[in-house]
Amino acid sequence: MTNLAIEIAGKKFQNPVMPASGTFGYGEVYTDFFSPNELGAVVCKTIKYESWEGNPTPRTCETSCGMLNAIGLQNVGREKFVKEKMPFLRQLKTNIIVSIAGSKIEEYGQLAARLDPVEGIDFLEVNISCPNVEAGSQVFGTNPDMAAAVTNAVKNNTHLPIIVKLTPNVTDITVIAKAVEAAGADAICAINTLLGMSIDINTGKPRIAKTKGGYSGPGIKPIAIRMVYEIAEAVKIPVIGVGGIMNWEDAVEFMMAGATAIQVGTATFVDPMTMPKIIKGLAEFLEKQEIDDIKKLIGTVKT
Amino acid sequence: MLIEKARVAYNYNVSPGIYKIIFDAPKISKSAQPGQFVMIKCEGKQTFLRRPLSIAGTKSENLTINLVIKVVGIGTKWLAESTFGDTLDLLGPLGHGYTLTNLAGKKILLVAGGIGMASMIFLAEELSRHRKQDLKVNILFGAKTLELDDGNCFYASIKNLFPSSYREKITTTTEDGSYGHKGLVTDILPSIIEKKEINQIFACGPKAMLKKVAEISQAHNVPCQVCLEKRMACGVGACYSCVCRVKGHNIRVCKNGPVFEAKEVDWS
Repeated sequence: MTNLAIEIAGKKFQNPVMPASGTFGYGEVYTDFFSPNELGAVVCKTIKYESWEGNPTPRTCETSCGMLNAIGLQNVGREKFVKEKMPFLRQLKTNIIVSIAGSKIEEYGQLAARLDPVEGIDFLEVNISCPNVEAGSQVFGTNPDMAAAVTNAVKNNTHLPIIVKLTPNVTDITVIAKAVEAAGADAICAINTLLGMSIDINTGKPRIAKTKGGYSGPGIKPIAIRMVYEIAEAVKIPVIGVGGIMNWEDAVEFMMAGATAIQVGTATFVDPMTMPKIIKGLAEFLEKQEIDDIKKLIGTVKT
Repeated sequence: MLIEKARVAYNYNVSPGIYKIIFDAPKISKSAQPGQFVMIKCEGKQTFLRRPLSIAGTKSENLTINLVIKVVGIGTKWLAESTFGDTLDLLGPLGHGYTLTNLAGKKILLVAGGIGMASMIFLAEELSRHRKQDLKVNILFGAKTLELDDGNCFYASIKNLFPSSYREKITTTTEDGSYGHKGLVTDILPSIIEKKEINQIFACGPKAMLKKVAEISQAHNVPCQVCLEKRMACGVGACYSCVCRVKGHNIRVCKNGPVFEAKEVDWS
């Protein structure tokens, strides 16, 4: 038997596969297809301190090898999340990772403090990388001092381990990675979407209402692999790799680049069974390669 | 909802750009309701996301579902080229369809604009199975044109998509006057409501049409359900792409709709 389990911040994950925030609702959306208990973790759609209605439509469009989105962090807010979404999440047997965002640094701290005593949360994922909201988020992820300040604010208000999710829309992602590590991040998640744009040539108008949006899907995979590789070289904390993963082969590639775990986002929209298929594919690959422990794949790229 | 590998049993070019495709889809056909849709994985070179398409009918005896589609882009073009025996990946049935309770004795009008007829065909089929309830059903169908390049009219092929019992109950409008009344469905909607004493409306079509239908039905104090169309990515409520304003909030069309009470939708 091969061992698919990995560990982040002392917590065990039965396998390294989890959804990317914003693609799996609050864990309830895909239960007709498989049980979230099969996953290494459930990552919730980002919540903010106050509920938010998000951006105007159209919010998404298809592009070559993926899609653009500018949803704008539509979310139910902290109280409704705790009251209406946590009861379902709490009874799951896998790790629960709650993604959080704020418009100001203090708001991240306040939200972390509110969620800290809530039973059933295993990690906070700090989203400092959403490209689609005006007041902040990505701006925190593009400046090392701000990224560190947000990490600090969350860390000082919770006992939970925290994962900081980084934006690829920077010149050197290792500078940000080192800054959040120094500020107390327990893990790094990379990458969020790449800022992109698409125009309908018949109308001359942008194809999404916010003009620009985050590009996701298989088109971004080589960039994500490169960034995961760079971050894993630069920091000691675990990296969760995300960006364009469509199948188990992609997952292996991310782990070889240095990822301890991986997230699947856009691929689930195309095939809801992507994540269970990846878990199965990873187990079969290890068996075939006679590798007894998936941790032995991490960072094994021969450069 | 489930994923079903469905075989194309029939693909028929109804009129320019309009195709009727029948799939062997025993699982989806069993539970599909009018107003619901499927997300189809299009395997063309340039397509990535699934395409949402209204279910235009089911046949319980041979476990098939029908789609009536219009070619509007690369996904629907690929779909239109599918042929007998092809196996496609369908996700469905999805969404919340028309509410068909308390209809006994009602005088019902189905308003279909263009390819919005797809869900109306399914609804008409379903209503025709409710004969005992003493329903009176009329259909108002609008199109840009019903004229072919050679000058012939293709109204008959569109009409034949509807169940036979209602084919003589269809009133038609065309924007170019090529068949039926010249103009829009909403031009003659008020007089039909009054003449036929309509007390329940179901509508599917372009947003501008639905907005007007909502206004007219409200002015006549007639309950109206509308089936909305919105660009989608996941189709199951995960991504929040397809929201519309309902009772002051952004609500997911794919999950909470696509059918809504017209008066609850913010049409601005």
